[in-house]
Amino acid sequence: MTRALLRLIGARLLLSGLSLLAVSAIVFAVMEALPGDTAQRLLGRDATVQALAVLRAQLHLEQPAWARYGDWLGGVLHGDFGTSLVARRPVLPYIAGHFGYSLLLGGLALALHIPLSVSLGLFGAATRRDGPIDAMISAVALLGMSAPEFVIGIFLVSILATTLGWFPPLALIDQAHGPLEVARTLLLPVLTLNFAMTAYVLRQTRNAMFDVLRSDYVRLAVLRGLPPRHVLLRHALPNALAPAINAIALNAGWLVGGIVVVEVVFNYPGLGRLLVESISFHDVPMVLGAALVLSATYIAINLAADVALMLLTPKLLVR
Amino acid sequence: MTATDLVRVERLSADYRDGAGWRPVLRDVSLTIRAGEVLGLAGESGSGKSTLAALLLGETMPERRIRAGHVRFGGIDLFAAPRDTVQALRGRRIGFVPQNGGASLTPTMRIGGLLRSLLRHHRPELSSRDVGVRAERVLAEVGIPDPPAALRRFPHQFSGGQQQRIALALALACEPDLLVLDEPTTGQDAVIRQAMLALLRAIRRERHLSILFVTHDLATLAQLCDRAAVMYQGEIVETGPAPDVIERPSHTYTRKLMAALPRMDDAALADRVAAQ
Amino acid sequence: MARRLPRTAWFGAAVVVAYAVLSVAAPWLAPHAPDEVFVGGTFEPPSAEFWLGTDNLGRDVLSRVLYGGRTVLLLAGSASAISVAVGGILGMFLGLRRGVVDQAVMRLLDVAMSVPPIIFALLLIGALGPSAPLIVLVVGLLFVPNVTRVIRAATLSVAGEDFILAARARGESRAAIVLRELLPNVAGALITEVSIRTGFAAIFISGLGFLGFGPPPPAPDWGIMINEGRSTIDASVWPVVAPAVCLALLVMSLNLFTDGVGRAIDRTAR
Repeated sequence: MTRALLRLIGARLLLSGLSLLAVSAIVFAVMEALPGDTAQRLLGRDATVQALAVLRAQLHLEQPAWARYGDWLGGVLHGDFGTSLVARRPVLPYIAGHFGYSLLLGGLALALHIPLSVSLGLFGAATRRDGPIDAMISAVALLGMSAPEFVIGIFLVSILATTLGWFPPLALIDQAHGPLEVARTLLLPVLTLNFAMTAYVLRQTRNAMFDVLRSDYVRLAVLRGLPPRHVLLRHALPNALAPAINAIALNAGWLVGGIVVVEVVFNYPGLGRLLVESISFHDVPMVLGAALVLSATYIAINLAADVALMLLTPKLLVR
Repeated sequence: MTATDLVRVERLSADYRDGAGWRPVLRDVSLTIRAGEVLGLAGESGSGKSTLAALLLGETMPERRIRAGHVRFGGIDLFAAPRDTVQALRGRRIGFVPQNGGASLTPTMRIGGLLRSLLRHHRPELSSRDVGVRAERVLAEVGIPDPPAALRRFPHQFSGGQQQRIALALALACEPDLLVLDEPTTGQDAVIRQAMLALLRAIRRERHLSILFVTHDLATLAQLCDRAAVMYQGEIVETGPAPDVIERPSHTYTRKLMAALPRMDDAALADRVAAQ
Repeated sequence: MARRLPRTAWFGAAVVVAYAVLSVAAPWLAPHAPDEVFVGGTFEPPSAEFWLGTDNLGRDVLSRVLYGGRTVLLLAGSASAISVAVGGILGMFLGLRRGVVDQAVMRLLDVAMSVPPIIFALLLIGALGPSAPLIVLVVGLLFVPNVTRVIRAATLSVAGEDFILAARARGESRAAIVLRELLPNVAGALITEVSIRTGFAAIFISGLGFLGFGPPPPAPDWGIMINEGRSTIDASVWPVVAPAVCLALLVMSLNLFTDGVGRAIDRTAR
């Protein structure tokens, strides 16, 4: 069994590696497709010919694109993401720092999201199907799906921060002192992300639990005299969890994009905001690095979700 | 009530709720199962026989209500007794095998997990070694090859016929006094059906237990049962020794049911399976 | 099928149609030009002249929301049309054809889907400069893999049915089979996809606008309006609330419609 699992994980890992390679090529190609060259864009239209030539040499722009891609990829593999064109310093520390903040925000959002939405979904399964609770969940789900995260964020800020003054309107975590202040700055962005994600997982978990509780095997577990706790934890829950994890995985993937917007809303110094700003500054190495790390995260989340699903679904595991 | 009566169903009436509202599913049903006896319960689908089988385990559902009557198992009134008392009987003294045995096996649990958790719950006095021994023994009893390996496998790794046998093993594991079989051979092909009937005959030879065998197929009754009861539209229309009910049906419905099912091929097949 | 649509779906459809009518009629309905600046009239509260007040530059919020609706509907609708046209044709082709080509294209789409959409869009639009056609193209192409998957699955589920096999046995051309036998059976899935993708595209394009990668002025995109208004939300909430509510209501109506059509199809299938 473990061998079958390792083989499956190996295959997924290989596919993920290929995806990442493809992503890096796509990202690089897009940046190559820019009209005019990087030196021109960097120095502006009034740049002298000499200045352009010097910068082109510095950036190795005289080499063909595939060679530069190879150089860049080789550098990335050695932890060298190049030098920022704006800050004139290595890209890696910037990306690492901002990525850390993004991981903190995304991790906290998930740490709240998973227990909250799953337990609400399981709790909701104890109520009647198509009852008032169902209608309420559907309404909230509809709202969560329909209001973009920047709209939710702005409304939370204007009510809880600007009007009531309970929280800071901007999440300037790098200026916060002490864990309490950090928590206060993080709360609104975490809430914003959860608002958009909760209803979907709640609904999936609840429907899955409904189906499982009506299943033959749960009925039989009861008719075999097993205690309710055992039936719920060993027979019902593991089978309801697979659809829940599927939904959580979709949300976690969405989070990679959602966090970009939320970081901008709250001026949060994460990787998403770094990417948006670097694109505006045409800071190519920074953009390449940030996009690559975000994509790798996205791929890693999908991989982790697949593995978790495999572990929970024996049918996928053993044939 | 005589000392040998294991189950007494007394004037039981029950309703079932569908989209249109409550409608009667059992009408004034009375029935006894004696210790060591195999009772066949025949009837077409919708006649109420599966409901009766479930009520022998005291199963409650929101869509079902008891209008009148009692079900007593070993003197315990299943609808009046505390929930824990009923729950302690299920699986321990009453084993149940549903129509689709495969669907009754939790897909995320290994066969060993299913059997062992059941034994540990109902027989807490057993050592974990004994639990393992019993789990292997009951799998061997129902004809699952290589029990130690089977314990490590998941339900989906077995064929449909084997899944049905595993469901039977779960029902037998705690050595019950009564086995309720709800159409255990329906939907199987003739060979597997006959093998299952042969297995059930062997089990009744080896163990001293009572069986309620629910089926829509009167022909299988003759191969297994001492007595037979025939249900029609929620009522028991005929009951008596199995050969009498089958060969000299007194109720018009039983006659029609018999006329529809002259299963000569099955009888011939049974001989062959028995000969093997 | 139409008679079985739940009331919520009809409501959703009615709101979307109303949006379309208001957008087309914006030049006649809007009291002012969207970029007309009223000097000294910044952050006016709602009044008889400015029903939804004015923004930080003294522009009429109502007029800008009306014209913004045009932008969003046109861009999101076009992006959705591109994704469903390309994804629909590709999905039906792969579903009927199957085999090696099908497998190869599906794996390729898997790889394409492993790039987070927002990052891909930001890169392309950031690199090439925001313009309405580019936004439509990028967003439309981003949704192609999803649409292809759905339509391919829908095609696969009917491709083995008797009427398709019968048509093949009759020797009908592939085009005839697609038009007469397949298309009517995947029409429901196609309609649902148009509605889903339009909603997603509206959110996505507004999000791009919010991040500063929206269609260039003077087109007043709702996302851009929300971004401009949020820094001065203390002075007036209307420049943010009006486009935000309009956007949420549009997407919600599309979702209601999608949900209703999906449920109606489920029932018909049963």
